This record gives sequence, C-alpha cells and structure tokens, in this order.
Amino acid sequence: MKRITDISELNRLTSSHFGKGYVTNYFISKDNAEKYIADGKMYFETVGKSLFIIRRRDGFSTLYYCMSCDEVPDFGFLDETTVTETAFRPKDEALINADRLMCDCGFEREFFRKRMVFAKADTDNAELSTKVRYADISELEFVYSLLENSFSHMTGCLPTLDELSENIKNSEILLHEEGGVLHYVHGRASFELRHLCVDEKMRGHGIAGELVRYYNGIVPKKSLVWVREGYLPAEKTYENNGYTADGMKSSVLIYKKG
Amino acid sequence: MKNENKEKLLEILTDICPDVDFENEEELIDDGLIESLDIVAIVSEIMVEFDVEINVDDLLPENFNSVDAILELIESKRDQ
Repeated sequence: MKRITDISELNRLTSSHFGKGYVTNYFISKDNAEKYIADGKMYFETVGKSLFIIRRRDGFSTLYYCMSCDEVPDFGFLDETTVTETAFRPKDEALINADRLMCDCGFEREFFRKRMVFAKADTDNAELSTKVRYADISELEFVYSLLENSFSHMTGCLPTLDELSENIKNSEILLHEEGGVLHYVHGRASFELRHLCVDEKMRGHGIAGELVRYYNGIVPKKSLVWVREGYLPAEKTYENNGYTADGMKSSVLIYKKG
Repeated sequence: MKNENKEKLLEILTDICPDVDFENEEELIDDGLIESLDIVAIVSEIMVEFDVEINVDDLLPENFNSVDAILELIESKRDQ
C-alpha cells in the first residue's frame, strides 16, 4: 500500500478508475479527504484495473473502492481488520454484485442498514419538549462518552472529538436532560440524523422519542437516517415518529485479520 | 447542436431516473431528486455518450442541479 500525499494525487487516482465499467463507494467530501491526507491516514492500492483507497483508523481501516466490474478482487494487500460499506437501491445491480463479490473474497457481512425518511408537512407544529436543548462545548466529553458506549468504533460511524466539537459549535447536538443525545448534520438537501442514544440506565422511558420529536420540529423540510436493520427499538422509534423506509440500503462488511 | 445535446442528455437522465421531471426541475440536488448514486451513473453515461473526461472533483452538487448545469459541464469539458 502506498500513502497518498496530496489531494491532487487522490483526484488523479479516482478519476482514472471511474466511469462506465466501474462501481464505487467512494463518496468522501474534498474537505474530509484533505484532512485524512494531512493526518497521513490515506493509502491506496491498485489491483488489476481496480483502485482501493484505505483510510487508517484507530486499530482498523476503512476501505473505499473504484472497482472494475469484470474483475474478481484480491484483498491480500489488507494488513489489518477492515470495514467497508456499500449503499444501493434495488435497481443498482452492479453495486449489489460488487457487495456479493466482496463477500466471496474474504469480507463477512456484519449487517444491513436501511435508510428512513421524514418529510415535514407544513402542518407539523408539535410542541417541543422542554427537557431537550442544544449541547454546550463544555459537555463535549459527556456527549462523546455516551456515543462511544452506544455505538461500535468500527461500524458505528462515530465522529472524532474534533468533529463532535464542530458539531456542537454548529448546533448539531441535542441533549435530553435525563441522559440522551441526538447527533445530526445540516445537509445541502436535507438534514441527516447520524446518532441517537440514551443512557443505558434510562432506556425505556421515551427519551429517544422525545429527542426525535424535538429534532423533527427543527428540521426545515426533510430528514434522513440510516438505521441498523433488525434493531427494533430504533426502527420503532423512527416509525412512530413519521419516518418510512425509502428503499435505499447499505451493506456493512468486515474483513477480519489477526 | 445544443438542442441535440440537450435531447441526448435528457434521454440519458430519464433512463436513469424515470420519475424525475428533468425539463422543469432546477434544484435536482438541493431538492433531493437525484443523489450521489445517480450522479455516478449519469457521469458514466455522459463520459461515453459525449466522449468527455469528467473527474471526481467535478462531482459537485452545483454541476448537477439542472439539465443546463450538466450541459454546461459537458461543454466546458469539450473545450479543454
């Protein structure tokens, strides 16, 4: 594997492995890519006509691919446990095939996520809970530990402390006074709810629902959330608060090493 | 020529996203009518049909918000 040293190198690599005959799950924003490169965390490997981009994390890697559709990938270059995720709709046959092929070549399916959508009606004027408020920067450690206790480091898409600090500054973290956190991001087309969790001791008291209803109240138009398929408490919370699956799914795969 | 290109592009777009009214929508990305997976599919077709090179750093929302924006991107690539 070779380290990527600047964004133009990454753009050259991805652009030459892109287009007809290729499938990709490479959807990193330019800002994030630049940050990962500056931190010395981005590597690449080419195998046949395919390009693999590896982002080093804390004890594992995340894999992005621009994979040729007519090749069987060989992941012998992966030197530590690696996670990858492919999003697709039922019509995206090439991506579904790529995901299946990766399972045939050493990756194991961890779970699926399904995307759920909340579309706000003009008449939605729910009363907002007084127990919910925006988190303050002094609560950064508390928010991080609650997220860390609730989501897997490898597959939970956890933000770093720096990213979380930015989220708090951007008013993207809601706190419930009885021990709950809702993390979201302002998107270009819609808001995206990234994480929702409740202190283990306080589960079953409707805190998650209160957080979601508060959040729905501040969503301008539309909100998206990726939910682990089969995790009923989360699925029910969203269903009960106006979210419906839109057909988009993602497959989370892990290549286990050592 | 411009009309021919527009017709060809509309054909590609409608083939990929048959439910979207590309002739009239001007906020395709901002209104969430097409998303990243569609953009990758659209670009793949455009590269072949219009014989242009589109790079990953061209995949900006503003280049795909309307048919005219996509046509402009194609024209700019042809001029290079």
